[in-house]
Amino acid sequence: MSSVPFNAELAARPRADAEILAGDTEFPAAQMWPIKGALALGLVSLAVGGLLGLLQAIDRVNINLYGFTRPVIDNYYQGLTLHGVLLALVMTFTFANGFLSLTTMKGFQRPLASTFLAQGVFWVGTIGVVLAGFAMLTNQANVLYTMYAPMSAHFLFYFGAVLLVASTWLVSLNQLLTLRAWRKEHQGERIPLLAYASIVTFLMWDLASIGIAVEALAQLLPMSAGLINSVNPQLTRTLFWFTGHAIVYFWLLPAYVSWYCLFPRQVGGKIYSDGLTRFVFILFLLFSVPTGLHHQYTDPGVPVWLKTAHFFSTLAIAVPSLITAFTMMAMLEMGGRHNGGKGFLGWIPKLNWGDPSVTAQLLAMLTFILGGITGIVNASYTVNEVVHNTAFIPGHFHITVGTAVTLTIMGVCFWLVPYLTGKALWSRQIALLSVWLYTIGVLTFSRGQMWGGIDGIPRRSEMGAARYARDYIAGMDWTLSNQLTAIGGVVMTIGGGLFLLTMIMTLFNSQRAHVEIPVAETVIGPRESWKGLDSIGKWTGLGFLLILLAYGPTLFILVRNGGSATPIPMVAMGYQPHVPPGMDNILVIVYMLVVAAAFGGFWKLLQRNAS
Amino acid sequence: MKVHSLEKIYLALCAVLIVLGVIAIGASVFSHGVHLVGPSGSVNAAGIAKQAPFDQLGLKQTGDGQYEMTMLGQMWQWNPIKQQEPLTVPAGSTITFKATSSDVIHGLMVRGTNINAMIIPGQITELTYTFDKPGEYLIVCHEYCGAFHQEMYGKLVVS
Ligand code: HEM
Ligand SMILES: [Cu+2]
Ligand SMILES: [Cu+2]
Repeated sequence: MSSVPFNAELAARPRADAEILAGDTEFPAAQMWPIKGALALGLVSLAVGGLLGLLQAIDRVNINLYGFTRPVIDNYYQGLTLHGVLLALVMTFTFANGFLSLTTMKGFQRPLASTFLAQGVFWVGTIGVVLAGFAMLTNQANVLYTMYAPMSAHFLFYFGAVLLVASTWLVSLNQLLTLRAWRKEHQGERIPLLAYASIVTFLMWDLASIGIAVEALAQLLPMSAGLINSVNPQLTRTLFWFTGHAIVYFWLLPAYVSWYCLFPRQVGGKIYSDGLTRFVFILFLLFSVPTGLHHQYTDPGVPVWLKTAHFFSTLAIAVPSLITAFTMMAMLEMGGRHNGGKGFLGWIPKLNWGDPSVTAQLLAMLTFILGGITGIVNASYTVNEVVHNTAFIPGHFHITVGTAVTLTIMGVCFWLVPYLTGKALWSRQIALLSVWLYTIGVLTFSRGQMWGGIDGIPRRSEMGAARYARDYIAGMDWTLSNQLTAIGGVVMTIGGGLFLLTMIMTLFNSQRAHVEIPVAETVIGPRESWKGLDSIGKWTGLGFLLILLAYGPTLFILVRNGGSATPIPMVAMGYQPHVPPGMDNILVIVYMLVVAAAFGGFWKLLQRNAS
Repeated sequence: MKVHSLEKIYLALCAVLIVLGVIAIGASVFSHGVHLVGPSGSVNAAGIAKQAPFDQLGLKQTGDGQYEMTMLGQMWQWNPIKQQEPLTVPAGSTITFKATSSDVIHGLMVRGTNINAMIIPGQITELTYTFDKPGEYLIVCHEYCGAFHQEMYGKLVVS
């Protein structure tokens, strides 16, 4: 198999410094290994999670392989918990942590402010994954990644999840410290766009993660450890979706960083407008969180007028993605024409379809158009009643996070792994094949899921074991949609497998390559964009105010009268906490002290690094 | 900030699209009477079976073509629905479902209708639908509630 350097033009450029070994990057090794480590953890999660996805997909045509995976994976729902957690939380978070740490450094052209924090991100995140992984693999956390109370898993599951989230806060902190240091050296300058987008992504997530942090620390962890034995399920669900909508932008924005700031360079185009790019990220910062109730249109305990309010704010969050669609098209057309494309659509074949990194991200963008449309369906208030909690929803998010984001991660890896290791990409052809197969697979899969969902297939249900799925209701036949899901799932798995093979073989490739981070230039530059966009602290404050407006009344109502309901006893799913009688009050105090100490430590860290 | 004129046109068209969408959704609410569920009261976690309306579970006729179905989501059945004994009502009947959960969160869906809502312990979910079309309807739990989640189902026959 011949290996082709990722980007011929860049690779052909003479090296300025012949002494530097290929693969050495411009940044300190002590800050680079945590990035490599995060990426490795993400790719392992993709491998394990993807295989479990395959089991779920073929279960729909009555092929049940859980007999072979026992005792490690005992049943469908244990696998589904791992699938959701590994792919939607671990893979996406570790990629965001690693990739956006790197783009922050690249944007500022300087290392991160704190090596201690950079390495801390890796350790905290990894320990979190190991602890949660232990709980899930031992069948003590079959609560799915949404962890709705009063279901209660092993406390290590929630503790691990908290650590994973804490790792993202450490990235954000380090970014802000780096921004501060950079500002001292570059007074009056505009924040470089690449760093700007990376930092605002994490600021958005900082705001978003408040909900799940409060839920985990105040309800789920104490519940699972036996310190409290009742919870308010309507409140915990609301806190979950406080974070749960905005989390999709934490999945998506790292992909947007690549699409906006790097990808144009890869297709021979330029960033269309510096100001508009900043504006888009600010819109996400402002509107990601105050829309979360659109996931709770069908919740009995939430007043309808609040749902209506969140429906309207949801419309606002469609705007930045609509702008993105335009900007991407404009940028691609510029690139295609630059490469000699003529005529109305003649620029499309002229895009570098031979470059797997480009193809992966083009397919990601195309698929995301469908993802966006189906998202608008979900968000559409009354229409939601048709699709809520049906297989339509997995159909939708496998083409958003499962494709737009995942394919972009794959596309970025095609240059990032050679960049980090100095090894040439193993095989361009196989890399191309992998992303095409994945796309064809996921489109088939999602077609099956969405069709089935509209015809009433519930989501998160083991179809192979569901006796109602066959010959129960006259005239109901889900066979074909389930077959499409299964076939699509198999093709996706083959595509994903070839991608991982490409990554592994690249690690062992003897051929070296020198790859640079493709940073794009702008057509309409920073000088023509509004300076106020750079006051990110003020924008974050405004975002916080909007959240108070959108969630203040909701949380007030739910907390004041407990959603007008009494506390609900927890239901242990595989792990029963044991607290010696009479000890619970003491343990609650100890727990509160530990949490306070943890935040105190965080604060100290902030101060020490800030001085 | 400089914005290309084509982009301004594009954004205007997007705005029109969003407004049209809102009008269509408004029509579904105001002229077709599709409503979201909202708070319909609460129950105490202890002794649900002693509290109205859950002291009398099952399908009851409350008027001419009017029915009320009170049910309890629990791991893992729709109490009191039995899988092999369908509920039956004549075509044109209006059924009001009143449901809550006695353990974890469940989800109530009747296939082919807009009966679709969460069943949350402590909260009462109330939904009404008029079954004009004769046929068999699947009643199913659509929120994961444990190992035998897929056992929570039943049938409604509209004759
Ligand atoms: C080989 C590729 C994949 C296959 C065959 C696959 C298959 C599936 C299936 C069949 C389900 C539905 C389970 C149910 O509703 O009962 C599912 C759920 C899910 N998948 Fe995938 N998937 C794949 C890749 C991915 C990727 C790449 C992501 C995200 C980055 C992802 C995220 C999710 C999530 C979040 C759920 C929902 C879990 C839940 O409802 O708790 N999947 N997957
Ligand atoms: Cu959402
Ligand atoms: Cu259930």
